[in-house]
Amino acid sequence: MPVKDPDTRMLLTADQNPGIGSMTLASEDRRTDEAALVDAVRRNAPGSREALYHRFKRRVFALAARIAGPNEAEEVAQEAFIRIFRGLARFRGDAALSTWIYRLAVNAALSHRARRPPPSESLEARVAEVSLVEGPDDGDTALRRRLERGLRALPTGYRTAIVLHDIEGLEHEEIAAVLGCHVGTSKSQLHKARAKLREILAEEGITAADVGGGVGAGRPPSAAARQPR
Amino acid sequence: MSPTRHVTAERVSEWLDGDISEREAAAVRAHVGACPACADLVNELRGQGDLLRELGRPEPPVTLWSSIEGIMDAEEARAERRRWSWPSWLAGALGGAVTAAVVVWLVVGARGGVAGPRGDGGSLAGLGRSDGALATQAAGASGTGSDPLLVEAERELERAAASYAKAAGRLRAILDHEQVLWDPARRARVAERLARLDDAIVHSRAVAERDPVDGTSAEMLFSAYRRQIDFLAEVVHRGSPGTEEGLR
Repeated sequence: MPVKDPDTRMLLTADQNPGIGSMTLASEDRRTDEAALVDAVRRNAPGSREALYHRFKRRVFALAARIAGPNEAEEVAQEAFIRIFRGLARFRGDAALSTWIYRLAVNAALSHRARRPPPSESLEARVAEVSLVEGPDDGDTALRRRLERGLRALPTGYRTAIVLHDIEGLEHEEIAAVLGCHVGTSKSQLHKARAKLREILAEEGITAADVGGGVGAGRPPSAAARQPR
Repeated sequence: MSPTRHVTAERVSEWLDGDISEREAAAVRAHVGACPACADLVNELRGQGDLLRELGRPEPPVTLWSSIEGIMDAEEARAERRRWSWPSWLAGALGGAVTAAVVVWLVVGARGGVAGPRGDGGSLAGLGRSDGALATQAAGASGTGSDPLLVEAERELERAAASYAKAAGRLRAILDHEQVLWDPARRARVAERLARLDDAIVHSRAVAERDPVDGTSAEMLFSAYRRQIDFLAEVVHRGSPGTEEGLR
């Protein structure tokens, strides 16, 4: 039986943490809101498609950029949204809208990558590649840029798992629903991905001191805040 | 876990997420507490996780929405055109009917000394209007059955009517299939309207058959068919009679 560290255990016990109740309410509100939006898009209500686009554009674009590559992101995000709008009539609401959208976006990115594998990591390719991290090439910006490059060097399966969990903040159950795999597979891919990424970063000369001084250093396991959805 | 055997990065990741048993977690904790190298590894993976969380999401280009909207609009416009363009079989049938009707008109025109379209727009309605005597003349000829022009006119009238009837039959088959899902009141209104249109066709057909060269009766028959087809096409193409105008 897996055991969470004390901080995590507290978070997982609704009775001990009144915040959980409000989280559930917020989640229900979000579901109602999403159902209304889906209904409006199905009725072709003016502006509804654009509203749905703006709600999910950054999530879809970020997934597209990180799974298919920054140079392909616009094309993949476009394809993903077209699949979303075409498929919305068949969306039954069994899963959360965001999970369903993630699934279509990931599928669009993976099928695009299968159709068009990325070019070799030549210097020209690196120079031509659109950067996802804006700003001068120094300090934190440079580190984040190298981290993005490290992510791109991961095998696709690993990269997808780490992007969905550590960057997008999805739970393993959601990742399993998005990827159509078992929860155990999602966890296993994630842990392998983190270990592999660490190796890649070490090869890039990124040391424990570079990343270990992050905001989470010294925290107990699993206590780091998840990115808001 | 042996104090000298380091933990792997994968194991540390599992421990950080609480994905191992309590016994395994205790062993990792004990080792990390005693091994500076593994403690560094823990900090490194935590730091890596924090950096990943801080990466955030890039902003998509401002042109992305307009390109998606453009594709969706074009797709819908194509679908709309497909929905409203008459199917080829229907266009062919109506084309045949119109051609046949023109032949009837030309036959009548030739017998009445009128060659080709008339000055009033050349509609079939003009045939009987201008040539009152023609119908009588033609009726007499038809009765003998000896005039090849009248025989041809009768034949063409039949062909045109058959083309209209075939087109209407195809639409009716689609309608029968689709209206299963409608509510009974709507089905009844459509059936009533179709019955009236059928009556008009039967009546016009009886008149036209009595005198195949009578342009007015031919035009009435074709007009009745067109009204029936227009109504069927509207009801079928809209999926259901959404507006009451279609049922009037």
